[in-house]
Amino acid sequence: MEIIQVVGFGLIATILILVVKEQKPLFAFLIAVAASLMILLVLVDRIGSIIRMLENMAQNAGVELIYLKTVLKIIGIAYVAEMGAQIVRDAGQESIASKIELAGKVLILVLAIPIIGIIIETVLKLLPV
Amino acid sequence: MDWLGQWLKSVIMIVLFAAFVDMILPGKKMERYARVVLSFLILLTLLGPIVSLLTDSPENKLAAELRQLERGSADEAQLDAILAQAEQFKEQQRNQSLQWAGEELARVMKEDISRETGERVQSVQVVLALGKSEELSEAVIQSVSVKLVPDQSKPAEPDSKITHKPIGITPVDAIDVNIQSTSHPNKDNPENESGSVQEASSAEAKARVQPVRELLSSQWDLKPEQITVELPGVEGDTTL
Repeated sequence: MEIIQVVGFGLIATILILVVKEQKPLFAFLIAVAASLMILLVLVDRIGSIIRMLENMAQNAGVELIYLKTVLKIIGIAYVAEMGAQIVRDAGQESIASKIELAGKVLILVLAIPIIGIIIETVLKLLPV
Repeated sequence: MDWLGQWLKSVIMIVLFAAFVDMILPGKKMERYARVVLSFLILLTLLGPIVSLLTDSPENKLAAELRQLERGSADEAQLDAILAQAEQFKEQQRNQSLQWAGEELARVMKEDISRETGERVQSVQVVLALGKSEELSEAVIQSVSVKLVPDQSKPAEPDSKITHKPIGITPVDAIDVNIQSTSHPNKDNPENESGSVQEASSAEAKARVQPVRELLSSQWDLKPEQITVELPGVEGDTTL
């Protein structure tokens, strides 16, 4: 029943933020950051079990772990970027939030560079000179 | 067909991973970008056999490139790549040396068997393995497989009478059966004949194989389970 704990924690944090926001907006922001980080920490264990399951699946199927690594990197970058952007957006800094999102997008696309390189190399070798 | 199964497995797994990532991604903003990378990954997996045919295996290349990307510093990555390549060359050279030594040993064994037992040897295969120290000088013989020349091609020798005996009996039996009953198909006799031929041939095969095994185990200090002697005979291949 972790979901009830997480939702309860979120609700309490929201009420606290609403109360504090009127007096001290800075502390409200800090509470928001701390609450989101704590929810993430609660989920770390579960995320670990999902990743272990995926790794086991890949190993049993004989798939190279490098593929799984790439996929996990995509998930990680997307989550971190999204979380950071939302926290910053909550603080009212829309432009910085969009920059964080841009960084996430670029870093995800950078993961595609080696893959594109290998594909292009193969295609060029397939073509007659 | 093994590679086909492996390839199918990887394609299915990558597609499953992609579906999983698509589900788990936060928000819509990252979705398009993640999809592009995942589709490239699926494309790479689909092209896997062609890539490994033309260049190195795609997994190794991808791992090397990602490592380089993570480190950032080109010099270090280059040094690592060179060291990895050197290790690969070393391994290749060691394997080639083992193979060459195995071939050479096989040649010597073949000559030994022909000289000592008078058997005609079709081929000898020696599999060498490295010892615990991974040093070439301490390589040991893992297995020896000898294939003798089948009996038909062997020139007539005085001690090969046994082979002629069952052949001599065969026509006599067949004629008897035909005379006794023309209505019944001669079912039993051919079986008996083939049985006797098989027994005789297996006894003869043993007689030919045993000296070869003894010679190899005594001269090369090999255990009996390391030696395989094959004799492609009349009734299919005989492995003893």
